[in-house]
Amino acid sequence: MNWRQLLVFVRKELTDHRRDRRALLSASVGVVIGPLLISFMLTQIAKDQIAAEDITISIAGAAYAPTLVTWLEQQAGVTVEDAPAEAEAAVRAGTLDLAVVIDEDFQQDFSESRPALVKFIYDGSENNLRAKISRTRQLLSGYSATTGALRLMARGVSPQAAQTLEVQEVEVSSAQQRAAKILGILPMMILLSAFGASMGAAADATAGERERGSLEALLMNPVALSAVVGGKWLGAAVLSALGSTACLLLSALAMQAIPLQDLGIRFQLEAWQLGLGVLILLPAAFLAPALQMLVCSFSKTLKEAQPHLGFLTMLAMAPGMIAAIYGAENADWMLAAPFFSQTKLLSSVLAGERPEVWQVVLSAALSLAAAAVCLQVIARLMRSENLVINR
Amino acid sequence: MIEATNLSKRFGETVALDGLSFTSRNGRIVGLLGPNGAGKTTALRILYGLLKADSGAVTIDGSDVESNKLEARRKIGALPDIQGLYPRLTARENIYYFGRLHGIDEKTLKRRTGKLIEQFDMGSIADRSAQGFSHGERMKTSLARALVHDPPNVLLDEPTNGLDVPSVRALRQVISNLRSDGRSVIFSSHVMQEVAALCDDIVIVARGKAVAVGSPDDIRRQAGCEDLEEAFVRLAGPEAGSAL
Repeated sequence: MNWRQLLVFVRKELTDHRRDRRALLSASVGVVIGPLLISFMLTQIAKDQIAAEDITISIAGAAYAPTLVTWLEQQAGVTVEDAPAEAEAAVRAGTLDLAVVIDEDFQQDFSESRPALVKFIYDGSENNLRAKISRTRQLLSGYSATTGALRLMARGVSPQAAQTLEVQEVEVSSAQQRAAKILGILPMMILLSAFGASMGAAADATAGERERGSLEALLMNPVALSAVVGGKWLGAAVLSALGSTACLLLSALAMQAIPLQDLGIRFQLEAWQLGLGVLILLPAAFLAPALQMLVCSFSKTLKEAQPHLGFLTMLAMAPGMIAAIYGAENADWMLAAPFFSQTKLLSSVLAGERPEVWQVVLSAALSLAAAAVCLQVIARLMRSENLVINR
Repeated sequence: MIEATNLSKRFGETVALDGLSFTSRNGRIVGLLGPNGAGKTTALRILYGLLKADSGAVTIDGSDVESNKLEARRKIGALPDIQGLYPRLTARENIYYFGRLHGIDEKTLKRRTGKLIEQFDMGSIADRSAQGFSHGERMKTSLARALVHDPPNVLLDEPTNGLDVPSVRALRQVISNLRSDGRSVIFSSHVMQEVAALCDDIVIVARGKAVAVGSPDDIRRQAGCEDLEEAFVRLAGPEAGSAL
């Protein structure tokens, strides 16, 4: 390896990339978009959660069950209003969130100790209403349980006799683990930013050089191919490393700004988590440009390289996405798949878990080995006459 | 000094070179003259070591291009047919880049680049990015970039293509200065007058072979006519005439 030449290449690549405004702009969009998107989504969820505690219940036939309506009005944060005529149609059309329809025989059934009919109308496909729906349902069953207990007591029976089970809910996931679940897509976003940050640079250093014809002029110099390929790669890898680190730090900042405690989530990123996160991320940031340069080496022009880069990114992210959709359990084999392994490790670090040292080392070693193989192949390709003279 | 012996090269079914030999000595200018597609660019690319000849050999100041590629490349400065500047670098930075790849120390590099910029009258464009350069400005920059390591052998692939008249005249002056510095210069062209005006030796290339070699006078004698252009057409064959 000719170190002096390697440095010349890195220096030139960095100067070149720094001046490529368009590539820099799209790289920064890639860095910012993930944190923005996730903080937006989490803020929305937090808002819905607060909104759920203050609910308005539309009731049709309130006059048939004055005690129920009064009881509801007494509950904290509950407002009762009269439902419009055709309440069911209004919910169906989405103009009304939810409605409770009280049967006209309510009073009679109730006083004769028969179950009195209350119709609860809602649209379960409305994700943002989920909290309101479950609160309303809880209120209705709460009223049912309270009045039922009173009836039993009036008959001299202990209300406990009607209760055959005592269900005690023990939530085992820690608050931070729950946070990680919602934030599950964040690691993927950060890895995507590693791809986005180096994409323009990697394409320019390979397909771009061929398109301009500068590769021919460059390779006429007494240069070692290992230095050519290594220098171009390092130049792009710096961008990838900077971009993904920035994305990680930005996400951490964004998370501090969101009222996550409203979600019942304690999400506190500590310095060790960020440090370890960067350490896990860097090998992926080194592999991404190597892969990008490899696929772009087969293209004669930048335009030809574009779709290859898109497919590459999708392919690299595919295991992570599939696992997220099907909720795959953590398994050791996942550490063998580059990008997937970083997604997994980052998730657990963000959730406040400390991965084993061997897991971090294995993930890094495999990614770096894959990068080395890519660079070897690129150097071999550059020996090909067709590539050099861009035929 | 460059010696090319019996170079042959095929691309699939196409025969690009078919036993081409020529020599270029220090302090002399050799013109590779031939119609488009005669194999001039292929021959030059073999000299830079970018293409490997199927048979034959090239030595540059005694270094074999195939077995001692890096050493051979140190002794040549070349202007390929596509100049390939880096559009986001300035003219000066483009020159520095190649100079550094040759391992020239910074002090010498700055001095030589400054001299080349002055010599090629590039002062006004030296610190502009190459993005918007005219053809002539790109040409000058590429040439300066090829000469920054002070190579004893200079290879120019159709350097006058697309240049306006003042630029061609300036370039001719540069080429003849290279000869008076004692360098060996090879340049290719498909224009007879250009070659006749500058070259000490002419190699007429057609269908991958040297069909005539010698001084302009030798060529006239071989063709049996006084007019060089007529001689070129006679020697290179009918397709050369159409290429003119």
